[in-house]
Amino acid sequence: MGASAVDEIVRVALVEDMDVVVEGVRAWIAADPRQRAVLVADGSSIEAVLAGSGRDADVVVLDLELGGPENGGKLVTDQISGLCDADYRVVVFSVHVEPLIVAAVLKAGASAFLDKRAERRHFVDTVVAVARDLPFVTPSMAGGMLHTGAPADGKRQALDAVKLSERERQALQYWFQGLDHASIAFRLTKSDGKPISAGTVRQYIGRARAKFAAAGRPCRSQFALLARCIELGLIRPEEIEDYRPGDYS
Amino acid sequence: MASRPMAASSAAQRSAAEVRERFTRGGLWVSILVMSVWPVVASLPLIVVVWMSHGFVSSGAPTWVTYAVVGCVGATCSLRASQPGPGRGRDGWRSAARPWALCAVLLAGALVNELTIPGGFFGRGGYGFTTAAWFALVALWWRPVTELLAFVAANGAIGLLALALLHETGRVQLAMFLVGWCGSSVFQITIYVGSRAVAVIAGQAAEAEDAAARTRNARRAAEDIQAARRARYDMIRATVARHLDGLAAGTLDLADTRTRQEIALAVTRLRRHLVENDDVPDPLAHELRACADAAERRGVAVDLIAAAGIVPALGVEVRRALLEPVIHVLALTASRARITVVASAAEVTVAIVADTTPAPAGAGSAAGRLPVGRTAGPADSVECECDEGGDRLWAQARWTRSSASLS
Repeated sequence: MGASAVDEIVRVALVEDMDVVVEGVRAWIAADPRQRAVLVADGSSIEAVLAGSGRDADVVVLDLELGGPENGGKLVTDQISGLCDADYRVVVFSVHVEPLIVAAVLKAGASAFLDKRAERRHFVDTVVAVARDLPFVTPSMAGGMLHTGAPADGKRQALDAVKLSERERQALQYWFQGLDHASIAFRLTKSDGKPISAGTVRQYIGRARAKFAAAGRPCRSQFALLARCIELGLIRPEEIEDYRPGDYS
Repeated sequence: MASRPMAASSAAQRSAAEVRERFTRGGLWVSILVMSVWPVVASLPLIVVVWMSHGFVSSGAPTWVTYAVVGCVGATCSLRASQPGPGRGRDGWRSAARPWALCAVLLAGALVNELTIPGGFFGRGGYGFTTAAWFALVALWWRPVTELLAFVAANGAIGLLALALLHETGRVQLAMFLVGWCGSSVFQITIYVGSRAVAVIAGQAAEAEDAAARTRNARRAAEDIQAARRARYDMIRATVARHLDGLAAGTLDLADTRTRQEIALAVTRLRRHLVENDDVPDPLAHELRACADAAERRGVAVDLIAAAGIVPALGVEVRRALLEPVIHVLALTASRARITVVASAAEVTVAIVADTTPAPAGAGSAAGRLPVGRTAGPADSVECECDEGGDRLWAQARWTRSSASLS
């Protein structure tokens, strides 16, 4: 993983086998008024991208469905954990926005999930936030974080044991539904009947993201995210029950 | 609804072939009973008496013992062959070779018996010729009636051969032979044919009963479908008729946004009604898909996201209430809508966010036309909310499991 990129230009490596999407990403990055990111490598396989200039990327953006129809629609979800273990920050960019899949992707250690059809406008914001280890949550990620398995499946239940407060859950749910922060703030009133601020909504969602990271697979990007959340005052170290620094060395 | 006629049908459905087989098996048991009792009661005492006076070989006893063995084998094999379902025992015995091997032993036994007993063909201890057909009846039970008749004919031929060898071919003897021959075969043929006739009649009765049950079930299913159609029709008639009447009378203007929205609403609701009784694993998703399809046909891009969480089984009334806000908002949607479902065992929330066309002056806000609050009736645990901001409309329906159904 590259050094902290707070003020530096974020280096993005893109694993994507459709040229038109690669061109689109290039265009979105170029269109960013502050020029916060640069595409340093692209290719149709993880190995090809990381073998070259992608090795030092701050963020690896990964299409879940590589190889097209001849690959039989097989998703590369199982490769995410390998990338995370190799200390990359992974952003998954896919049309497979089913909350079940998003949940699996996040639990494998991915830092963010972007809906290929509906969340393109968040692309640069997402990679920059991920590079800076900020608790960034897209609406599709909120769906994955709200997903809970069948009650009969004890193993899933254990994995899903993220204890969200009622406010955090409500904020996540409205975010998943497609409301903006201001609308969510309007719907979440304080005890005196006045709406909360949009900043508070961000805090709720950020806290939920931190709890989700703490309950997920331990890897360096999740550790960095948690550290950043503590730094931002979103969560206290003692709140993270599963926090095990030794696992990330 | 669909399961009731199916259950009734399977209860009434007794295969006619099965019934026929069962009655035929009953006939076999009768034949085995006669085959077992007759030689013991009617023949054995006489054979024992002759044995005492003329010795074992001339008494007919060897044939009696042979026939007893043949009877045991024949009865066992025929009973085993009567078990339902295919199997080696059944198929082997129901073919010609093995039963006819037993019949050959019977015919040989009859000839030997008639030639060895004292007093010629009509002498005491004459056992084989008169009794063989009972054993053949059991052995040939699963063979066609023609084979039983063939055995009777062969037994007659053996009798004639014995008469010829014994030089007892006088008129009186031939007449006695004929009486004996008929007397020793007519009952067997009657039992065989009679039992088959009873089995056929019983099978036909079962078939008739099956047909009647199928008719009853079909009628019941048709009534159920008709009732469901009637309910659907009643539900949409009011809306559709009002619009058609308005169009016919010229009071509805298709250029009016409000009219088009109302028609879009009716169409989406109709689509949902058409699929609400479909037998699918996830009816809520299925109905949402139908609503989304109806909107997409009008050019609205609908982003229908799979449910976050597992949707529990919900009644049709609850699903209707959950989809009502979605149907309303889709009718008002200008170009894009996002539909989401968040579910747990105790709560299901269906929400929609869409961009709307600005309401014409004096039409009131779009949100004002949406259902809000708790719905009455069986779906009283569904709560609807909506909110409008700028050109964006948000609505959600939330079902919570009532405390009564939790306990």
